[in-house]
Amino acid sequence: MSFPSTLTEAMSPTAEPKSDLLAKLSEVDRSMKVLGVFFTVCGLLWLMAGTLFALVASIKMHNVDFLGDSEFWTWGRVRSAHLNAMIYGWAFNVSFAVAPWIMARLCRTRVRFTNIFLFGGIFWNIGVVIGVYGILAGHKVGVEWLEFPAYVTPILALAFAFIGVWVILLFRWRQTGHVYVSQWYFLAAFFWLPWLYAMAQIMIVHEPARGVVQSLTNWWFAHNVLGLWLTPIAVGAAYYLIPKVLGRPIYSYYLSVIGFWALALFYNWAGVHHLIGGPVPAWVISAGTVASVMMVIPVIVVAINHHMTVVGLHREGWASPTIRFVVFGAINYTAVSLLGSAMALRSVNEITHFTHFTVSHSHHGVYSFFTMIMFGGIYYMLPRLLNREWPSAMLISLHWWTTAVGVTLMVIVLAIGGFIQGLQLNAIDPETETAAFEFLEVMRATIPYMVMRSLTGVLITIGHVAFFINIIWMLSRRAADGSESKPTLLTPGA
Amino acid sequence: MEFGGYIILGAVFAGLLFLGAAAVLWWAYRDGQFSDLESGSRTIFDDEEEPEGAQTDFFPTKNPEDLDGPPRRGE
Amino acid sequence: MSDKKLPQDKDQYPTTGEPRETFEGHGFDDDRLQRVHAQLMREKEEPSEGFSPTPLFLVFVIMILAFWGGVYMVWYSGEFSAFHFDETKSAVVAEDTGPREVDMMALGRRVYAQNCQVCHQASGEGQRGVYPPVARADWVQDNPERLIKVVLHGLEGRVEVNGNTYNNAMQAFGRLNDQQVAAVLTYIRTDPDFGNDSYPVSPELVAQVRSDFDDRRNAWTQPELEDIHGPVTGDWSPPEGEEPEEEPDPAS
Repeated sequence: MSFPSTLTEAMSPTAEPKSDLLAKLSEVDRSMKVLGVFFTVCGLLWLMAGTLFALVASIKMHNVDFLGDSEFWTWGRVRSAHLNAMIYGWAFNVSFAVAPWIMARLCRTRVRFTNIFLFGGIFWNIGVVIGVYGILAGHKVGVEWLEFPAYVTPILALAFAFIGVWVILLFRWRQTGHVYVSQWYFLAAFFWLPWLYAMAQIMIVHEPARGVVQSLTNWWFAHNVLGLWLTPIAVGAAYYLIPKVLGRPIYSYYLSVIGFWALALFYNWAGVHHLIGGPVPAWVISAGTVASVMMVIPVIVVAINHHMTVVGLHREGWASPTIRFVVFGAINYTAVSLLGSAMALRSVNEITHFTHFTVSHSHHGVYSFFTMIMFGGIYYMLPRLLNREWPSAMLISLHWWTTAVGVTLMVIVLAIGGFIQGLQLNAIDPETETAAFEFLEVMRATIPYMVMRSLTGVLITIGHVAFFINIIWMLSRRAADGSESKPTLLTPGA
Repeated sequence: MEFGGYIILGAVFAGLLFLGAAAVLWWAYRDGQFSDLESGSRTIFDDEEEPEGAQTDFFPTKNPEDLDGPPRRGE
Repeated sequence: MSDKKLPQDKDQYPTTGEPRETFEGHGFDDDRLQRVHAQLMREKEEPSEGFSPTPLFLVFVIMILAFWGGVYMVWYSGEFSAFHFDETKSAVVAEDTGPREVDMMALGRRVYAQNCQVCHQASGEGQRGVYPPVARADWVQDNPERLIKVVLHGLEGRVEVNGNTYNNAMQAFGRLNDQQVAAVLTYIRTDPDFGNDSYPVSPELVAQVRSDFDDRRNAWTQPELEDIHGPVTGDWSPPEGEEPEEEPDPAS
């Protein structure tokens, strides 16, 4: 058995797929155990930290004096700390856990030289800690989604290189002939992100472009983190998890290939619609709008595929925590994308821009869609990595109900409040032909919605605490009773 | 950097990306990735550990006995 | 990523036909697996072709979206101009509203600030011995054609302005268009700040001089200009019976 012993040997052009290297799924899982648990726990801690920042920022929207005597907790810093902790802390870590694991399973290869992968992961999290601290200390860059101080950028870029190259190496080591659609999505995501991040950092932080080009770069980046990183990761995971859990192949695999290439073609244009009304050449905005609407194609394709795969198996799906979360995420992917296409139209954007509607939309995308699918991925992955069952079905149920209900209410509340806010901001008094509402009036009218948002935030926090307890309980279980528990999902009829 | 510099840089990067995507698509086509999609969609199943037709995830204590699950994972 | 030999079926299914431990072949005679397959067949009929074709309604959706996208881009293209920000206004229509009224004095002030001010100074006083003044200068209040020649092709050698001698070379400004040249000359000849009280210069006159001396490459000298227009007097008025705006312009 010619098992490559060194990294260079493993990467050399003569390293060909060998059927005797084809790993069993359980072998793949074992090789991912340390990595998967490490990134899940890191992501979990960031999720809790980000939730705390979110609650503080949300309460400040209606109780301005809350924690007002500490500069660390001013709204401008906490809000950015929330955003960056959630994206670079939670979303990236959980992607580093779930995507390489699914990738390794689909490639049927053991993950080798995991220490280098782990090294990248440790540095990534050190970078995020420094970055979030830098934001709270007031060193942030005043560009949304890129608030981390310039001094953490190299750490993050280097760490990502160590992590990202592993996904590509996994693909290189694959022992299977067919490239499954999830592999396309993951590979593309891990290629796109470094390019996005490098371009954005160079053109905004290190060698700043001037004027409107900077804003274009900013929104091209910010929207593409969602579109070319989080979306392919989550859609790829759903394409694996839904058929896998239900034991039924994807409804139309042919469509899924179309969906992938349509996403690759259209999504990177879409960010420009954030600059509607700005001093940007009209054709650039129009191109962004058209591309945003064209995103309907891959979205419908994914929706058909996911829906038709699940249809008829609702009872079975309901019995699976993974399917509950993933299907919730998949439904919201359709909803948030169609809504996003509508928001890219100039006439709609004039109302929703600069209002809480946009905040609603971004939570809809990153939470209802991405985060929920990743929760599902963790519920599927951890028992297999640890060979242990989840300790509490009640906590899983609680997690699902609180987050699903909480985020749905939050999205609805913010959308309604934001839409009213937008209409009031645009309203013209017909007699004087000036603004019909004073800015302060408009702002006061949003306060009830802000209070409701904080309440839904509390609901979501309860869910996160349940998730946290469940994972920590699961990890510490062996230490507690001294024997490893077997997952019931793998021991039928037990 | 001057405006023209950005245009050139952007054009170079866009060109590289586009060519890269075209090359990948060409490779996938030549490799036969699109030739037998129906069986490709079944590559995620593993008849030994997680076969097609069997559900593989349940709530911890709600594993329905009437569904014949996959065999215990080999160690 | 390798485009080398990828695993084929023979790599995955042992060519001997023997079932392998880690592979699907192992399970085929397992009646449990038969059962689940039977269950599966009930749920989803086996496709007869290699793949299921794209649903018809999806083809329609794609066509409608593509059509809409094309129409949208045509309507709101802003002529694909880098300087066209309002998609609801067409650049062509904006130019069809007729010739724009140009404030010759404002344009002249800007052209002066961008091109002349470095040498002739904001005050127009120039610099003694090097840059002749344009303020209260006999040259400026003389025949405009002389000035147009100087601006278009430059001037070098000894020059006498207001009785003082200057010796330097002025570069040619032929890259300015007719309107810009006319505007800057009108500006220095009539703006009260410069203390000159002469007649405006029309773009048509500039165009005429430009075409008359189309092949000239080197700068003018004072003797050359005096051969054509005579000595500078600082006291020039348009020919009898002609308004200054409708200056000699037989070409049009």
